[in-house]
Amino acid sequence: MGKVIGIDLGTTNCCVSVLEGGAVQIISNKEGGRTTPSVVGFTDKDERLVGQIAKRQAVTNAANTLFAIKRLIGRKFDAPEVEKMRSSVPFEIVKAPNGDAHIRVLDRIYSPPEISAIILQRLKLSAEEFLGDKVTEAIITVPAYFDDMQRQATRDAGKIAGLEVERIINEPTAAALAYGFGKAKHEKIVVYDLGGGTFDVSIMEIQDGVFDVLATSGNTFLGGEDFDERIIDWLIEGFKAENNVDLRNDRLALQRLKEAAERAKCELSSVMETTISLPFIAADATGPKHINAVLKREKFEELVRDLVESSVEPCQKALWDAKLKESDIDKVILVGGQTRSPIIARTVTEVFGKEPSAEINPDEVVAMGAAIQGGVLTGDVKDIVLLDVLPLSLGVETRGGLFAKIINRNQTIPLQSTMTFTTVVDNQPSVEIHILQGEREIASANRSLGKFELVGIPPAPRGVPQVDVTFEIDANGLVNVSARDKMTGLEQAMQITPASGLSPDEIERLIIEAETSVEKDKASKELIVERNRLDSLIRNARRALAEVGKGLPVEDQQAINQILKEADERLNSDSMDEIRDNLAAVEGAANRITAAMLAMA
Amino acid sequence: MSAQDNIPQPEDLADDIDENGTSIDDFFRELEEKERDLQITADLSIEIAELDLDSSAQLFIENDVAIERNGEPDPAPVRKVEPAHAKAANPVQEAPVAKGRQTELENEVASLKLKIAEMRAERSDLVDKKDQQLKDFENFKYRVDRERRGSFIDQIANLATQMLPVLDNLNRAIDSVPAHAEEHDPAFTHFFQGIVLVNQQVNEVFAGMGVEPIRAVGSEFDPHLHEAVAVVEDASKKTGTVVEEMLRGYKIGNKVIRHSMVKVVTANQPVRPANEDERPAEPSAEDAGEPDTSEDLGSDLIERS
Repeated sequence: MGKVIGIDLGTTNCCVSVLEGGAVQIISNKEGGRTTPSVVGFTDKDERLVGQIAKRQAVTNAANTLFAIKRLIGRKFDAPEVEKMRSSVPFEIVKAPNGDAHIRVLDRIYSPPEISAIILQRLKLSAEEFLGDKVTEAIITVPAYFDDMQRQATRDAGKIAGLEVERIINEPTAAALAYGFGKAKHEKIVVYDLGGGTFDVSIMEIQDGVFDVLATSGNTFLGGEDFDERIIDWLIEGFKAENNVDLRNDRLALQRLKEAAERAKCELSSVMETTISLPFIAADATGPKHINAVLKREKFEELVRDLVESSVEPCQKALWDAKLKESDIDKVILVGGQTRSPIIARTVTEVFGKEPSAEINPDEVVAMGAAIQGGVLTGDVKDIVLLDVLPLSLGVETRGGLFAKIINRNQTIPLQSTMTFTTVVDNQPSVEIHILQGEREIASANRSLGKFELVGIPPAPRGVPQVDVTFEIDANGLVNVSARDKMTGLEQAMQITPASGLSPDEIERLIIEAETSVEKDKASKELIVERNRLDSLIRNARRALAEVGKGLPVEDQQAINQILKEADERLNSDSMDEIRDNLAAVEGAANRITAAMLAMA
Repeated sequence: MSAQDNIPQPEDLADDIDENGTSIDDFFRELEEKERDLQITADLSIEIAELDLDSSAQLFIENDVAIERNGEPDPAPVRKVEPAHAKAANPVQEAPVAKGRQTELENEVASLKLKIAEMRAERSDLVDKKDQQLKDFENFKYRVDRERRGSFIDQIANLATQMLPVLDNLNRAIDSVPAHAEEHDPAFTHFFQGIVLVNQQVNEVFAGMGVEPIRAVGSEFDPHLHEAVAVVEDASKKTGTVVEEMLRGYKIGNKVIRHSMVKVVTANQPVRPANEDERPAEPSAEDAGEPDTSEDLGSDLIERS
């Protein structure tokens, strides 16, 4: 088994890491960033841009720049979360024939796993460059509340990207692993995760290698960006009061404010006050105007107090759901960049009565945990056993639309369980087995995995026939459900392949497509490299011509100038041949200049 | 078997490297030591394999525990095997063919065979581990090397990134002076000229470090070089053309140290509402009427207010 990389596939940012020489390493992307924005841009030149670069062109290409795809993955078009997103994003979310939420970009329909795969593919490439070796296996993290379909869709995304997803693990589990939990101690921990755009709190019980998520809660629309916004508002209000100029109408000023606000926020995590200085931010008839504001930590905390407060209720709800008191909690872990603000740690301490742990970089801790899980699988990490568990309960619908759980969640798989059911009316000839997954009492509130009918039950008064319903889960999470009439021995069975809405054939096709696009990316990368070379060559030649050109005959100077001008005009050509031709021409011109220079010397 | 005690446990290996990872030399030295240890282990195991055992005992070893579990007694006489480190002095000893002793010997063979199996497994684990760590180290060396080569430019880039805001503000200061302001006050004129010279000097220092501005206005928008912060509809210009440079970008060679912040021409694309980025704050009529003065960074700032 080669290296297994750990991937935190976040709503706003991704992070990838690997275990090397016994230590977890975060893998930087091509641009040097330790995290990569979860943004994919499709250009009319058939390019796929990922990460920071996609972000930079988002404004010019809003309809074809996709972000927060994690909110769509494994969801139906009609789901409330999808509905909410549809009204707030500039790209088009469409209904797939099977009811899933898909995305239309440049007249092509993409499923969310395909988009996630594009991001994963980029992370995979970074990892391969970092390790100097092929990478084919990965651990990917998902929120604890993700259901089977969302998990499977995430797995498919990995597959499309050419990654065998060895495990899908919960983000809070990964964070706990990074902190060294899971070493056969019995503990209850809280993971408080305030990221760029979402807030999750999870309460877990860890025992003998099983990470049992007792409760989760959160707010899918609360994050660090809201905190920045508060500082920006404060600066704008202050500036308006003083100068009667509204900076909101000034794009550049807003951009500068945004950067300054983020920096100030970060600084206030370690110092008590910071100076925000933005000279020449605007001007009016009386001359230029500057911002030179001192932001004290106290003031900042006052500005964001309600945001922080709004995270308290989900925490209490999670405790309530887990039927625990704060004194039952052994440890609290902070995840997500925004938790660096001391007000968060203070609030968390108040809520859980415990100082939270934040020794590990909260932006990277989840990816690190995933890499550790990878190490467990390859045998590089020996003191942790992490068992595969069923994330959600399985069962069938019974009379009155109730949900009868046949297998409870958090049981280690593989496993098998049987429950006996009977008919509800006299002479009922058949029973419908409606297979559900979830934790709710009401059947319709859970996710339907499929249904089948067992027919041919001999006439009998209600309550007499006995039908055994057996659930069998193998090591790969494949579920087999069978129903058997005890009297006749009649049996019906159904296999539930973890479905993400994509068929195996589709996935196969997408894998091939994804591979071709990597080739294409490579070609376009080469083009860029050559183009950059041509660009600097032209500039250097111009500079040299200006300095020593007088030593050349006038017609030569003109000829060289002509070559440079033509090459410059066609610099943005997408034809590799053309760029190469121009490179040759400019190189020739440069040689003539050099010759002249030597002649002069 | 005492040799076993000398074998570094995989956890120790990992820990050591982790703790002493500060110096590459240390790391390498350590790795060599570990390798020597591993060599010893490997040799030992080979000696065991080559022991002068009779064929049935050999079979025993090769067939592993399975035979034992089947309960088949070994009919052939068995030789006692000394622990590997003692072998050189006294390799094998004739066993008496006494009946009572046979079971004892069989047991001993069985336990030795188990130990050998264990050691083999452990050895192959360690060899794998060593190979993996060697590979990790080679890759680490390669990476450090690459980083070292890149680090000079990185440092300049880092320095320049921090200095650029100062240059920006100097430019803003100069641009904020209204045209003909110097006509009124000769003292200010001299001061202003001095500032312009300082600006020029800063630009020269940057140029000397290899920091050069990125072309923006008039060229095609390229997210590798530019960051779009606003769009404007302009039928007279090609879609994707940069029409305004809001903040100058810089690069060293082909490495971008700051992307130009630009305004780009878009086609009249139907944009769905609700994304704040999609509602250009400036009314586009203003942009259309504005002459293309953006090469002159910041001058439009005054006009806009």
